[in-house]
Amino acid sequence: MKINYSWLQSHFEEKLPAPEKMAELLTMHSQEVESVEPKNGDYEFDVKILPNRAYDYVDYLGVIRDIAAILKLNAKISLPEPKEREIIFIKESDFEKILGVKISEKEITDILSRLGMETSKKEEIFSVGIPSERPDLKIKEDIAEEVARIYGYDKIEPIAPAGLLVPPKRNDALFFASVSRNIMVGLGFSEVYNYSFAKNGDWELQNPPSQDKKFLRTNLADGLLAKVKENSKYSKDIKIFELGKIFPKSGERMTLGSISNKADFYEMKGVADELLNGLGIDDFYYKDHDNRVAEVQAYGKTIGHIDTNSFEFDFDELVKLADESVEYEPVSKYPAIVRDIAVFVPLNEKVENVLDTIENTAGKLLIDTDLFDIYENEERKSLAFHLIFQSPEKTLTDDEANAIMKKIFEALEANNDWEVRR
Amino acid sequence: MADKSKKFIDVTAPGKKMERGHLHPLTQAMDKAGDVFQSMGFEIADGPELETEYYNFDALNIPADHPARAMQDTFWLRQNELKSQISNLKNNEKKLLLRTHTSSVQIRYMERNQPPFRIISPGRVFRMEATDATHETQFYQIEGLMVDRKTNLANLKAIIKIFLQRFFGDENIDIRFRASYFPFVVPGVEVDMKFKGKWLEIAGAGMVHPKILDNIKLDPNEWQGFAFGMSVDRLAMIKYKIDDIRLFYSGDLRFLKQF
Repeated sequence: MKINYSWLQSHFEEKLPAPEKMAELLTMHSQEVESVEPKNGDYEFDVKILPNRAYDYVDYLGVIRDIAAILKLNAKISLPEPKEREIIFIKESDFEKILGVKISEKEITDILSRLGMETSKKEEIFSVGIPSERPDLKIKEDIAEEVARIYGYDKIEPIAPAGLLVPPKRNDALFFASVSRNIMVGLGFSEVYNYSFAKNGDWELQNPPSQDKKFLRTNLADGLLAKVKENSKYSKDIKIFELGKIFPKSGERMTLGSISNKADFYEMKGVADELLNGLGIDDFYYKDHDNRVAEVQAYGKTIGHIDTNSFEFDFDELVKLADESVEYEPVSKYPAIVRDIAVFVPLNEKVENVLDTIENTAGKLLIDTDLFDIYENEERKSLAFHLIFQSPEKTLTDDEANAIMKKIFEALEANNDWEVRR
Repeated sequence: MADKSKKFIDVTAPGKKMERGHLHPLTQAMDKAGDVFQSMGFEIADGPELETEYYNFDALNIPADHPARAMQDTFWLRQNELKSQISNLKNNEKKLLLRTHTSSVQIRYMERNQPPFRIISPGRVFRMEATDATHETQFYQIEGLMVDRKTNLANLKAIIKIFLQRFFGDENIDIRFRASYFPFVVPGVEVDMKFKGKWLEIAGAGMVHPKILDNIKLDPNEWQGFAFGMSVDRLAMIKYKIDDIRLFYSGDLRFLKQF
């Protein structure tokens, strides 16, 4: 709304502050003056009318009443007719209770009456008659606001809140989100934020921002892949991840996705292992999947999947499984014995089956199994392991280790397709 | 004196290339803000991005005909016939939209918990807008809420001022309140921050409207408090001198690796 400075001045005997100063006063106490432009020897104020004050500014007199109250001047306008008025009651102490500053009774009455309200006070309670121009004033807090803005918010001194300082509860979802981000960053991945919109999906927008953003995304992978493409113009190695909401039919899920353009399945599996272990999730395993390379399961649920060079986890599930409690396991004082073993198995045999056989046979003294070499020829492959034996109670003898190794040999060769290399 | 047996190592030759990853600048800004507010006793709350009309508008005292609800401001979801019939029956708990602010989280939190409340809710929000260097269809907000028996406007001023000083690491930051209007607060103010000698708009704030407390069955004569909201993108743009909001969502590693 445009208002001329000379028109404002015409309502007052006293000289008003200079246009720029007047505009600033209105911005602080009344409504924002967006610009002051010199025009035909006058100044034009462009006032951004607040939605609740439109009615009061219809006849432009709202601004005159505000100026009268701010500068404590008598405006040359007749105050609104005191006919039928709504009455709002407010206790004198309510002003300080809401605003945190003590304003005198005289000041309160002065402000309200210059704004066109009829006030009277009886036993600590003001009754305030509201003119019909101010339908936005309905409750006592509205009256406190009128007094506060004219009195000046700048006169309210900051006061730190009183009260018992109780440490806030931790938000587990955000805590584990932060743990995960730090693991990914530590492994060399940079975090990106993509758009929640996608070309296809289960949830369609009525008013999409553009034709390729008509739906809410149902995965992070598509967005991450697009970012790899864009970045490949400038970088060779692109390792990125995102932690964000996706929107499947069932609603929304927090998801953690990652991609590394140079990685193979085993590298991404290593990253996934490190991430899950870092969240304190130990009981998970990888399973073949029809469309992806593998899905990741824990406690009978699918928690994510890995493709050739990317993975995506249901983060809501990870948070449920995450566990930050760690129990120290004493490091054995006794030396370990390391034995190597290599097995020929068919090309399509899974490492897991061989490992299971070894670990289920060896018993508690086998503390670690480390697959250090895979070698393939046309007919079969060779898997070579370091087996580490250690007792928490004594120094193991060669004979004891040999006995366990013998049992392992026998168990492996019980499978007719497997052959232990000697 | 130099040890002659020491092997020659050229310390001026470049180190082997190691590459660390980088946290997104908005993550870093939200972490920093979270730390400051948590140190002042605020709990961090989160909630859904796909929200109902009730939590995004009705519960916040935003009138049914308010322009913010219109299609040019809010992203609405298409729902099937049956659902939209239900919504015609004025059941706004069933009408879905992308939240336009994280105030919805505050309502959800207050429904589940007992006062006093001290929470902040950082998160992604959506506005139907033409994008340019300062406007995006998605951005991040931090909203704060403190409700207690005596919490007042002077307390609001202290909390926002301390937050901004700590966030920017600048004890000279001053703030001022300007008269304003938001349906969910009264008094309602616009908060400006004096940063390196210039006043910048930084937040909207005010005292929680009694109707909102009433909506969630709290007695407004017993409980009162303040709420505020600010854009994380804007805070980060000021802090890191970023001139285009769209960079945050570009995924451009030349940008991201600077943080």
